[in-house]
Amino acid sequence: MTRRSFVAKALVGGTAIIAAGVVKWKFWGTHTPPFKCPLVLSSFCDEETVRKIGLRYLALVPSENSQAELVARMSAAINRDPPDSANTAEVARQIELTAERDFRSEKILIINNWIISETEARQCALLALS
Amino acid sequence: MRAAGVVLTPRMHIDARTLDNGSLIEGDLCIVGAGAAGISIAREFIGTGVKVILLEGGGFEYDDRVQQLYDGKTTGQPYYPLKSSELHYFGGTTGHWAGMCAHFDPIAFEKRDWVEHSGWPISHTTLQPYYERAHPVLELDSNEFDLKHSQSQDASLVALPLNDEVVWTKLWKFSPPTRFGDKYRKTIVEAANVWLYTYANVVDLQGNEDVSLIREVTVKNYAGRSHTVRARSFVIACAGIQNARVLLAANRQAPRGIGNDHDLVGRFFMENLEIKSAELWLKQPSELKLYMTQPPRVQGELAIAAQKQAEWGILNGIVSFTPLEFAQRMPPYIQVWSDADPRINEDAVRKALASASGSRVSQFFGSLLAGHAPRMHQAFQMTMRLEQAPNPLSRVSLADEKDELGVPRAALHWAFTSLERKSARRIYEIMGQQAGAAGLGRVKLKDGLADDRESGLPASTSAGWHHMGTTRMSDDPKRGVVDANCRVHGIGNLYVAGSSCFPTGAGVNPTFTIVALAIRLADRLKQQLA
Repeated sequence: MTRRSFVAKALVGGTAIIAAGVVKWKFWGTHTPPFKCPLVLSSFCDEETVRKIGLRYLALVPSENSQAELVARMSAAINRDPPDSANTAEVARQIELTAERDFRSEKILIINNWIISETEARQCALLALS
Repeated sequence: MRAAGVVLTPRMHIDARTLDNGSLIEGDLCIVGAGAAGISIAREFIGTGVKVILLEGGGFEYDDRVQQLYDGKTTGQPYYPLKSSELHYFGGTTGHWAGMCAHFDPIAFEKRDWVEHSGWPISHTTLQPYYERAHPVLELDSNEFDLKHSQSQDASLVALPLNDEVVWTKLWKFSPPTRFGDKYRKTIVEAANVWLYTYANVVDLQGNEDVSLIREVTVKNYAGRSHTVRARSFVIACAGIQNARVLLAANRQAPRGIGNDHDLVGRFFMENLEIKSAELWLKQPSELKLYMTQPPRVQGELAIAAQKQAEWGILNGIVSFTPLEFAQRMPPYIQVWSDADPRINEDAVRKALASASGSRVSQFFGSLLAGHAPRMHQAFQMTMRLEQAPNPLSRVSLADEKDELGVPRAALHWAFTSLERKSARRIYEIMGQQAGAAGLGRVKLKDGLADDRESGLPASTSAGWHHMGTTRMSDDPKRGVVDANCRVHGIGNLYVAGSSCFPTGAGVNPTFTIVALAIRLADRLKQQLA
């Protein structure tokens, strides 16, 4: 391998690794089930940040420290069964609307400095438990 | 700085350093201080039969020896060096004014049960015609501050889709800014009935036997000259800290100072706080054009509806937006404006702004890549301008040390109540709630404001160089230094002009209201002196 081709391959490889990282950070929510993916937060927070919010929520509300409990509460909130067979886009939209309703009715928490809705706090918690 | 080729014809300008020591100056109205308030009042008298004596402590240009007279000490909440927070030459602090203009909201004038010591003896309606007369003085295109009016001229000024019963978009206009020293020098100097004396620092006020009237004031300068000015009426218009200092220092006949029978002069010092403790993160990047300081020279900021302020028992606070990538590189003003010399501070601010904007190379490539496309951002700093709760413990008093002219220096103790933190936090919460409810994005708190266990405001809290409240207005002499007409209680011919008369600060830059109130005072004085 010539020195020139080594440098070129190293540059391409490095760029690919960085790009993959950026894509993973930017679009981590795209393939995450909607119950575990707070749509708005995921548009600017990385997965780790969302998990930490979830862990903090669970510490604040230990009675919800189980996947079953969280799923049950979220299903009740959006009046829909868990999303395994449902249209995920529609479920995601329902959850987003529920989060907006939470804000209107002041079901709000401040967790790790973020002002978020109760529903998306549960989404974060579900992600943290998974 | 005089523009090349412009020849000024001095008519009624006298440099008090050149007068024979012990000169007697006489007129009908003596205005002490040639800043926004003093010059606005003097302008109103041009062409009348009233002989106006306008006294300015400095000259037409910055003079560090004169500026040194404003030096003083500060305690309590960290504040800017006093020497550099008001300017001491013709035109006053408009020499470094940013030009932001807006009305005080009607609620600012009201007695609010949840804000102790709030309430003006006049209303927004009272001031409205004077805002109308003040807008050309500040070279604003109109006194129209209605958002819909601006949107009818530029449909791209889109407001954030929030519930306006909770959060509404308050509109600002920008003066060029009007530097009163440059703009009105010729007008004042050439006025036939206005005598401008520069280098004439008032060091004492002399009243009649029971100090129910002021007879004369003593002026001095560092050339060693001392003169006497006699007039039928006097207006103290030396800016928020110095107004109190002048009255307190005049203590030969009144041991506590002129107008200070109830120990109110200097108390209730207020600022508009600048708090940068939250970020707005948008679901979709946006330009937020209406909220950026760009032509067509209006800017929107988010304000809390009056009814909600009452419901939540909070102060008035208004939030502006700055792209986060810029804001994160800009240190708080309380750090940048740290020198005693205002010129050094202005330079430091310019450099900090330039540095925050990025290198010229990155600006060039940025503009090349962006072309004419709007600059979209996902995250914005939310800067809150919060009114300060009136607090008698926040005060200007006299220091032991004296200045070169023998006047005790100002000592500022700046102090908050618990209401400022509560209000700042609640306002950000409300903004966060509204942004969430509208599906816009989320708000993130910073700097300890998120932590309920902490008290006080973040260390980065700055202020707007808005000195208010030290000669507050009230109909009751036990609650205010001046009455609704800005006349000092108990003294028939002594008035105060400027933001020191404001009982509350509104969270709004004061210059527009200072000029409106000064024009109103001029009307009252015309009646009295007719």
